[in-house]
Amino acid sequence: MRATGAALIAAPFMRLLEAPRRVYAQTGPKRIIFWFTPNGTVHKYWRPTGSGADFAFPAGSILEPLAARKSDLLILDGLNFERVRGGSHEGGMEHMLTGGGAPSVDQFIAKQLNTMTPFPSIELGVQTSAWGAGVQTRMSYDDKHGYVHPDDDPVAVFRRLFGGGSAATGEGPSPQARVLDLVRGELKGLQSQLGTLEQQKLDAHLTSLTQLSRRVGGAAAACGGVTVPKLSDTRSNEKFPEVGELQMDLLVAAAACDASRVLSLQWTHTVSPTIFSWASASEGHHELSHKDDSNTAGVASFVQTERWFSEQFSRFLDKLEATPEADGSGTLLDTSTVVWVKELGDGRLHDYKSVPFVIAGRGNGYWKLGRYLQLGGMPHQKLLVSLCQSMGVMVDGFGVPDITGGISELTT
Amino acid sequence: MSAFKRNAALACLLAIAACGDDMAGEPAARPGVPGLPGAHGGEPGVPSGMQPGPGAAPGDVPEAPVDCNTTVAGPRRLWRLTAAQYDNTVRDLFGIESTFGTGFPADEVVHGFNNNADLLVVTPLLADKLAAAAEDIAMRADLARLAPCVSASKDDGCLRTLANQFGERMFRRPLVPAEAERYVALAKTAGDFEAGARLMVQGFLQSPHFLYRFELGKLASGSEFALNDFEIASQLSYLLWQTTPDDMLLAAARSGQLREPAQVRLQVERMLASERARPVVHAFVFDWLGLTNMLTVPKDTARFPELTPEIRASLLAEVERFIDHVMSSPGNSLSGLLSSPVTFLDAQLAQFYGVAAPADATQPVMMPDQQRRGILTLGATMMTHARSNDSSPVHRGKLIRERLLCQTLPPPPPGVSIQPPPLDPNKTTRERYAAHSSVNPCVSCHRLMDPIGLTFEHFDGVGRFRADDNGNPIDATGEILGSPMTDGKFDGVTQLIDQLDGSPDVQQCYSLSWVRFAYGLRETAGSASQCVIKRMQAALSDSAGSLGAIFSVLTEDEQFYNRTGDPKIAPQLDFATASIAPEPTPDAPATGGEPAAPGLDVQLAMSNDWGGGYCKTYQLKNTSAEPITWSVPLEVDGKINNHWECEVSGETGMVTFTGAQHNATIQPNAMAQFGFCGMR
Repeated sequence: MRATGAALIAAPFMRLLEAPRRVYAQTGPKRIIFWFTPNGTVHKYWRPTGSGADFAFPAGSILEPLAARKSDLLILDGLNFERVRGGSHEGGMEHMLTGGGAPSVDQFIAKQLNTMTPFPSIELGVQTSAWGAGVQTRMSYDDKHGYVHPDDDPVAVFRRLFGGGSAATGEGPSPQARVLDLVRGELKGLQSQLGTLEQQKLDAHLTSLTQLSRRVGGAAAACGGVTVPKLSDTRSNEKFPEVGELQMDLLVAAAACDASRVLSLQWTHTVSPTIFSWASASEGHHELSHKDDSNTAGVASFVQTERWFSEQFSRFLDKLEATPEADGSGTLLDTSTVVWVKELGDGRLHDYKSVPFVIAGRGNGYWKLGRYLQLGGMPHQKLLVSLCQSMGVMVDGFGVPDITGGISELTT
Repeated sequence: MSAFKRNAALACLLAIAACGDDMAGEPAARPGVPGLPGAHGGEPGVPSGMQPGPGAAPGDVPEAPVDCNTTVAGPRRLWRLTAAQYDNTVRDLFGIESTFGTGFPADEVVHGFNNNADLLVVTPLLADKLAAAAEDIAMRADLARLAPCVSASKDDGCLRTLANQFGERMFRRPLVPAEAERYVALAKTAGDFEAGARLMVQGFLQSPHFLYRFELGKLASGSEFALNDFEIASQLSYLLWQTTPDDMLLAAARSGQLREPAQVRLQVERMLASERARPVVHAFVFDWLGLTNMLTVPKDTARFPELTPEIRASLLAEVERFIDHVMSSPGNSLSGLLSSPVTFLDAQLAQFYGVAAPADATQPVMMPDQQRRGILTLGATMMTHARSNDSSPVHRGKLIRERLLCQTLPPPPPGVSIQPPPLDPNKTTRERYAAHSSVNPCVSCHRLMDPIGLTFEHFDGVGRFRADDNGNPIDATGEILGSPMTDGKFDGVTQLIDQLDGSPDVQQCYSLSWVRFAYGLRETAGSASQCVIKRMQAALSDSAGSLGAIFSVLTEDEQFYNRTGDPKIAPQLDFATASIAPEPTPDAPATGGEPAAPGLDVQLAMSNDWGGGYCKTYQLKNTSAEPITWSVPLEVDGKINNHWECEVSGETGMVTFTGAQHNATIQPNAMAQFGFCGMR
């Protein structure tokens, strides 16, 4: 099939085993949601006790706020980043979803699924952009290794996802569709005249407009019942929790009306300077993430900020559980996979050993949940493979050519 | 280019490698940007601009000597407006305040600057935001302002006038007839005059001819393309004002004056004298010195309760007035920025600094504290380049290293715990950071930062002067290493500044920063940019180097008039004079029910069905030897509610799909696609 061939050319290290499923199978997750929080962890406050199905979150530990959801989780310990290009925070941020190649796994899945949902993928952020776009502040990459930007503004997200365009009235295309046709015509005219000159820029622009034109005049009204967020100044430190809350709600609403099958929420970025004053912190998150064990007050403050993220994650899962699928197939938590990703192992050391991952959500029964898995230094590219496969994108490698296979323990 | 620039970062790298640490060898290449992802995420004094890593600063400039008599201009290109340029342009064209750009996805930052032409693309998110902004702006536009005929005669003639007159402002050049007709045709689809005019505006705002600045030129000789007058007008306008050309620039372009350097010089003088140049110069300094986030950089409010939003605003006003003062003087601008002993204090800022308030905040006064001198010591700079609850020798040393010496530092080796020393009321900062200068592998890099940064210890984490550090005397001695033309020891900030002011390294770095800001070009992209750096550096060392001199160098350079490219690509392409696109084909009449043309292969390429509705995309291929203007009849299930890349004859039953303007005719062996969604 043409799509398969194209994918192999664009992403040589993603070895497709068979044609991607175009219509999702009933057995796998319907959608996948990536959830990022920065600056690694302190393992002794992150790790559960026990192993396998017999595990617990110690009192005061980072993941303890997820205790009520234990049976919906897979806690993954012992996944290492291998073949990181560069180093430090930036190397991890770039490697986390790409495994060392391009595109990132979210964009790859979106492209292979090729669903006719209004958006191939949806990226939301919480204060990700004060430093501009850069290796520190972006986690999603397109197949040319260009950044896929999150939208940090809930009001703009609402308009884009649920505001609708002016729908077509009467005969013929909508006015917006005519504008897009004209602009695309201009771009194609330029392409034909400029040949290889600025080809990538013009191609990228046209691709962007193609995605947009699919939606113009489309059925945005199907996503009823979402309220318009009211918020100003999305960039000030104190608004961080409020922005996050609105973005979580918008993400759930987008999932509920099937605006996309691949979604993400990026909380700030690696080296984040955010001061979690709402979690009693007085230093920036990145500064706290570097406290030595000897600095017990500093480490305790970092753990508090990480527990705050766990609380948000728990509440996000609750929101998914509280929202039914339109087709009556269950709640969003029944049908979705949520993956909590990080960019470093021990943040103090800037290392990539035992980078903490959590899979949550029942994914239509795809995962064998309720377990704490110690994977013993397995390369995390295998997790990326498993995530692809869960969505019916049958690859056996991701990011680099010589690490293959998924993680069978996740489903058996 | 001398070899000295490479030394610091290289020495630092080698030292780490010698310690046996595993430095990753493969740079994580970003498209169009060489080098590693950023230096030292642990302590980013200059967070936004630190990519790429070693090798991308002047050390990256090829060592081969450049012959500045035979320079090569940068490549032909399309340069997308930055978000700020978009807002300024909309403001000036429509007379409305535009903040749409602040909601666009952030542009990529390289060395502090976000205008790198290679990296400015239209991503899917940006395309959506541009479309939404275009709708809003078109709705709000005062049409009579765009074309006076709107008030008098609401007819096709006025639409044509609007397309030509306002189109020229939007495209920053006259439209060719086919282009104007395309927009008139768009307007006429709307049914009534006003809706049509607004639709036209909406189209202009999303056109590539508006969103990109065209720098293509016309083939002059060999591989050299000469920019046309309108392209030069845009360069001038976006360089000096960050906005669209005004009437005078367009008039100068129309009369063919702008390839004459004397005329350009007059324009530069006129534009620099305007108020509009001031925010642009501020933007340069802020990007260069990493001050862009000074209003939002998070601080520990318990430790620094005095740093209110109002004080941040005063700190901003201080640094802006300081820049205006220095840049409006005829002296050397770099020297003025580094060494000017005056500043501007309003009452609340004077109180914050703990000094007496001058009578007038808009008049220069001598810097209030003994150690304060020049922009590096202003509260804004010291506050931004510090930790959230503390000063920071690392942030401040890194600022000097990366932005004054244009050297890039590598990240710390993995596996080294790099806890910044915690606050300790019994120790000075120098004592707390002592490990950086004694313990391997820290010392190999931190010796390049900390000894410089510790000199600023008289300024606390929010930029206030302090006589002592926790009651202990401050040792403000320091040293610059690894930058031979600037190396040396000093005691106190004023001695450090004396060492920086006049250093050829700093002059070169400042010149390089101006070139990055002005040309949006990697310095390796053409030898012209290396020569302009040399000329600017020469101007600065002559103690001339005023802002006017800098803009003269920038606008007299080869890069301002020419481009380099493959002569085989569109040698005749000249938007100022030539036709650029075929005339639109008239819509084919609806011919429901006829079979698709022979030679037209129609395939259902993808489809999605969720019960209540569905979407289908069809792929068309012309298998014949003649162009086909296509028409495909299909039985529609339910009712069409959305379609793309096509026109439809109806919504239900048998519907004929014909091409949109851009894909109506398919050449032999070429392909096209169209699609629609329906509701049952």
